Amino acid sequence: MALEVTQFLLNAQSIDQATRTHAEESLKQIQEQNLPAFLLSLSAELANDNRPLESRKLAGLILKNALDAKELHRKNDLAQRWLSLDLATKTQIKTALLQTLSSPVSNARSTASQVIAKVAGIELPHKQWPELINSLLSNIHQVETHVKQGTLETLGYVCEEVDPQVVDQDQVNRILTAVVQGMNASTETSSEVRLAATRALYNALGFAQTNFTNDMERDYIMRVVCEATLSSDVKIRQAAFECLVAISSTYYEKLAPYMQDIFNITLKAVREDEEPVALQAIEFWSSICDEEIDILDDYRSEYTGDSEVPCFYFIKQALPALVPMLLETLLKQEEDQDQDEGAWNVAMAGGTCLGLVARTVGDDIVPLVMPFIEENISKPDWRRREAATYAFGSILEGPSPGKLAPIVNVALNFMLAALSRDPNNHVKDTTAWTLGRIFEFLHGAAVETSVITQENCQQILTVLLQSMKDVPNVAEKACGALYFLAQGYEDEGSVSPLTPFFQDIFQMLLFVTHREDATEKNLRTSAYEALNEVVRCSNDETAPIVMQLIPVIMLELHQTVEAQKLTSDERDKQNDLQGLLCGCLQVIIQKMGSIEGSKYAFMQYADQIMDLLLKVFASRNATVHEEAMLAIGALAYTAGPNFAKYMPQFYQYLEMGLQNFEEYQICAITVGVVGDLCRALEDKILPYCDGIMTQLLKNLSSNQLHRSVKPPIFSCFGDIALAIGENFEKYLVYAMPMLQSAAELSAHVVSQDDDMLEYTNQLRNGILEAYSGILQGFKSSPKTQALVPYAAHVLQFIDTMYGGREMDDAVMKSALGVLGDLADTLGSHVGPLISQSSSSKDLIEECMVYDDPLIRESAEWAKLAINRAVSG
Amino acid sequence: MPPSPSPSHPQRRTPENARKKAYKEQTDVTNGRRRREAQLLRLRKSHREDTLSKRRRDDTFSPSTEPEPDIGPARPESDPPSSSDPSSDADSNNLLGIINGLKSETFSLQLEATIKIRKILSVDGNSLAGEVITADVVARLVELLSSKKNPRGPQLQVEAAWALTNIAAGTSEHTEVVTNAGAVPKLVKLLESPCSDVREQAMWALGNIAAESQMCRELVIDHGGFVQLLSQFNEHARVSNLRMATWTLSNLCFGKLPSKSQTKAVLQILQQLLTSIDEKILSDTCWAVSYLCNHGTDEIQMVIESQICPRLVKLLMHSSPKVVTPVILALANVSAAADCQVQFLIDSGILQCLPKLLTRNYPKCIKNQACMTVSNICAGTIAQIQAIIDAKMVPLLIQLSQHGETDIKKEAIWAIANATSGGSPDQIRSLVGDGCILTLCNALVLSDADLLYACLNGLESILKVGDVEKMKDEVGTNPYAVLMEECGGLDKLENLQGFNNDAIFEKTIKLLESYWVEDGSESEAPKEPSPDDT
Repeated sequence: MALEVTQFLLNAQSIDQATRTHAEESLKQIQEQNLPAFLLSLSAELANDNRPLESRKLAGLILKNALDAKELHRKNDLAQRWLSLDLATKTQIKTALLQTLSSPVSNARSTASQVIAKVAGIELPHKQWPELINSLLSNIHQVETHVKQGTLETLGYVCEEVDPQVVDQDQVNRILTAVVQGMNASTETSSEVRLAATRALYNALGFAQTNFTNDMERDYIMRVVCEATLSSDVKIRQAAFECLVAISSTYYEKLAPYMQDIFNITLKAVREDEEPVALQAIEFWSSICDEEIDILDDYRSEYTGDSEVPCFYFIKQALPALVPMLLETLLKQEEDQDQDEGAWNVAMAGGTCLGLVARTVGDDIVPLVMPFIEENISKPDWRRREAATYAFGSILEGPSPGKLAPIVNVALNFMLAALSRDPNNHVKDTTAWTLGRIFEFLHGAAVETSVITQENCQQILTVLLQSMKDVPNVAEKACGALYFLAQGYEDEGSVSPLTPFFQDIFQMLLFVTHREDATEKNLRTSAYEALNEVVRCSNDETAPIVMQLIPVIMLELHQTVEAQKLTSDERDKQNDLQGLLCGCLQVIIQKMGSIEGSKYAFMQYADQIMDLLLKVFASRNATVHEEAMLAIGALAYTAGPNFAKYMPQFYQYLEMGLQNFEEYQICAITVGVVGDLCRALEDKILPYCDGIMTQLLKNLSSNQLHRSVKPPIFSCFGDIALAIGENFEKYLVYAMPMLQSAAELSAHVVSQDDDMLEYTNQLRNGILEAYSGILQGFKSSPKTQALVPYAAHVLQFIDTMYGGREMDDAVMKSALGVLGDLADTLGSHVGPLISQSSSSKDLIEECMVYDDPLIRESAEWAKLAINRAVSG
Repeated sequence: MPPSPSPSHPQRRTPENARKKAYKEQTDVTNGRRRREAQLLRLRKSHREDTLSKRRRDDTFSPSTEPEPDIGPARPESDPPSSSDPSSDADSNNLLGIINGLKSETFSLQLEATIKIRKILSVDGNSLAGEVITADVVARLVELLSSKKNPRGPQLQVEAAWALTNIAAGTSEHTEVVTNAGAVPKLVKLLESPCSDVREQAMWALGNIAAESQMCRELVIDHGGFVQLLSQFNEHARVSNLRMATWTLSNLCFGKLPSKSQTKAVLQILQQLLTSIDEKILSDTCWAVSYLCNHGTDEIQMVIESQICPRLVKLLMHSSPKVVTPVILALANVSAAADCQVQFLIDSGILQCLPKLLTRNYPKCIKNQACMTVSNICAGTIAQIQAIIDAKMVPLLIQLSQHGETDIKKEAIWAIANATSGGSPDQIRSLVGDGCILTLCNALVLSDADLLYACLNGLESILKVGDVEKMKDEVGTNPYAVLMEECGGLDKLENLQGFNNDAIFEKTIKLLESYWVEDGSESEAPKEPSPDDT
């Protein structure tokens, strides 16, 4: 019962608002009244070659949106909805879609391809639509080019959409055969088909695990891909290089036999081919660097000392030819590329790759780059000066400081001179960035011989501060350089050479924030971040100067709060500024709170700061809320129990934050702040606990809240219990079952991937922190009895985790803590229970000899507490 | 659904974007906020550990040395949370100041005052509440609902609506102050606000007002609140708004809606909401349906026509009693309607669900309504009674009639009485086979006249069928009359002659005369001659 939808679909794209709205409403109504008929009509529309292309495309798009959504919940709902449709309707729709692949209209085919892939994504994991792959493959033998093209495109999308495990090896083989044959220029004459096949291979590579272990099959695939990089069609060449990039990361360990050929191909492409192709050729090498950096990291890691995949040192071997190729690209800068946000060209890609090469091979790169720098750094052509500087900046991470320091010592004065005097902005931009890199990697307590001395520090500062008046992109890089310069003095005590310049630094940075063009190139943000870093790394000696910043920043914040009648653009900028100012206050509060002598003086501002922050909460901007919340957390630590007087006004925002599921980062930060408040207020938080606990429990049972917020909520239970002690009793009946079911879930989870494993461990840690907090909170209260019934479950949780062998160090340490806390708080009530649990004994024994002293310490504590409980 | 302008081609996954970010990157500088957050996290972690280890070291009250005292009254309650009233302390002295602020023309003062008033009202039993709820304060709060000159206008609107929400939640007099101040049209107007917080609070206030009385509900509907409320249900609404809208809608449905078309419109929305996965939305949706079903057969017919019965029946198996309770109330109402309407329930599979409700650990009110639904179905057609028998519910009913809680027991007896009264001879034989005679006889000692009469009716049907059996039997006895005697039913029947109710008296006599008195040789003679004895 297909409905007539053409006119609605056309009207929905009308330029006339009323027509469009009406059509959209009508479509919506049809969908609501009879979804199956609606979807059927859309598929019929898409399949009908007599209908206008515009209505067909929209039909396909609506169909696709009815099958898939970005948001995971909605995506699952839509999949469920599709699965529950009756079989006949689904079959009819799928038939129409497959039929569309033979349409002479390429746009219709392409749309159908995507819809088919979405259906496949839903059905194949449920073992439905088993005939799909076969019916697609049977199309391949069709004579008509456009059918082949459409079919290959579909295969590509299907591979992108479904998990490799869902398709059995026999079908994988046939898909790959069809795709690779479609790429083969000696048998396939249509370049459209070859392009579709090459793009399909890109997605199908993930399916080829087995085929890549077979030498013959792998050789064949690699040969066809390499041949395709030489195609006369630029789009095919680009797609073929994209395949090579994907292969480099997926099948790194299989590449050795092909590297010589690939090197020659990429060299030619980088030098001679059009930019999109050249960029992919460079990307191939960047991707190899990524792989080798990871493997070498694993080699060096104390934990494993090994890697699953061995390093083939491809970069090291290619170095003598690779580096000159990359250096050549640096000279192909675009005019004003640093003014253009979206710019991405061969020079930028080449420099980025050079940086990765330096990180991969370390010292070896230095002698290969130095001649290029020396030759070009003083040339009259700005491109040469910039390329030389960029090359220098790129190799500062990777090689050892010992190798670089002598060179930097010579270059530093030259760089400072270039930053003040070079006539070209691009050169100055790169120079300031390079200086920042020098400070980042060759300066600081961790570097043995810092290139910065008491003597040259003043000169450096003078130049940097001067450059902050330069054009925005140069000023922004100068702020970044100052940031790293300050960071290097973090642990310097009271002898920081920056101390005499604090006043000047603050003055200049505040000047920058007030520049009219401060919103360009992120300049204002960089200035505030530099300011924050200078404050964060300051010491007792400069505390009075930092204190003077407070009224200044407060005044600025006050002005933003009072500003009215803003355009939406002005409002956005205002919000950004508010966020930056709150961030700045947070850093200052933390600093002043950590310096004993300043704390008291600081507290005179606390009322005003709080007042301002409360006004900031009236803003609805997520970023601003996060910043303001973080500042409140800092203030709570500094104010301690005195924070209680702010609670009546602040509480509503705390609650609002906890309720903010949509902007879950706010929720997460607020949960953390609850913990801060617990530690600051201790039992003075009691009056607010009913409200807080109610909301936290609600959050835990919601499936809409982002999962990352849940572990901190559990930790927060612990914080609350520690603060209010036995008053937590009334929440036990709600909190404990939540903890128990989460514990069960996390103890039995089979982690398929690292993300899930990490999350599981966070969850476990949160749960354990909750148990510790509750147990210690009840310690020596007459109500400890109330906890006895839960002890067995807690032990069982630890047992199961120990048996599963997937605890990370943090979880292990927390688990030991909980064992001790059980014994410590419940004493003889659980002594026998713990003695019976062999795995807790094993865990403790095992950890007593652990490398990590913190874990050993926790194990000793647990053992001591348990011994006391058993003997007492 | 409106076709989103998403690109019609999927984005290819090139690593270009990631690389672009790496160009001259100064990660630390640009990610200031995340870094500060991480810093605070570290700080937090170390503070948490400090607190814990301090406690762990604190061994003064080590439990191994201190025998655990039984928890008794020995320990005084922890000191009363003297500061438990977070809001009013500071404000108690300057109520006048607050009211002046409220009346001020300065926005920030208005907002501040409104927040303070709202807080006073938020605390249960705050002594100031009574002083705040005066006609002119409420009138001013209503005025502030229209505030929009300020960029923070929405916040003021939320606060004012919040305060009014709290007042409307109070006594009938309080609600009247709110409605008299003209709050309803203004709150309805707020439902058009672009700010979802404002809309949500306005719905809340209207929901509280609508909960007051039918007059209040009509007031809300007359001012267009109904139409505005329905427009809140759209795909852009956030969940909290949908929850609030559903709750408010359910309150409006508590009374009969003025027109059929309105009921239809509501049902369309409810039908969609029934597919929600949100428990709160689901629960309030089901309450709304149950209210509608309470308004009469017209509404029930519309509920049936909206085709939500199958979904409702499915929801009987929902895991939360908050959902199941309104669902079973709604279905129980439908089951009391006409036979053809009841048939929809059976067709939707309700008989597969009811036994589960009756045998599992559900709250009593749910079981009660479930049992009532069964007895209503038993009062239906022969085919419907057959459905009950086929669902093997009779043994369950008999068991409930013996061991159930009082109310459920009664409902189970009603069900059996209904089934035996209306059943076909074959059905009656089957019911007797399951033990219905004992159940009905045992029920003859109850004092509920209606139920007694129903039981007598049931027994009468049974005995009639027994007479037919008698023809087949060579001895010529009514086997069911014998069964009745054996289980003490005859004695109880005779006792009923003293029951003070004409209908029951007449029915009792009729039974005794028809099946026993004329044939005294088969049984003991009645203790007293029946008054009608010839």
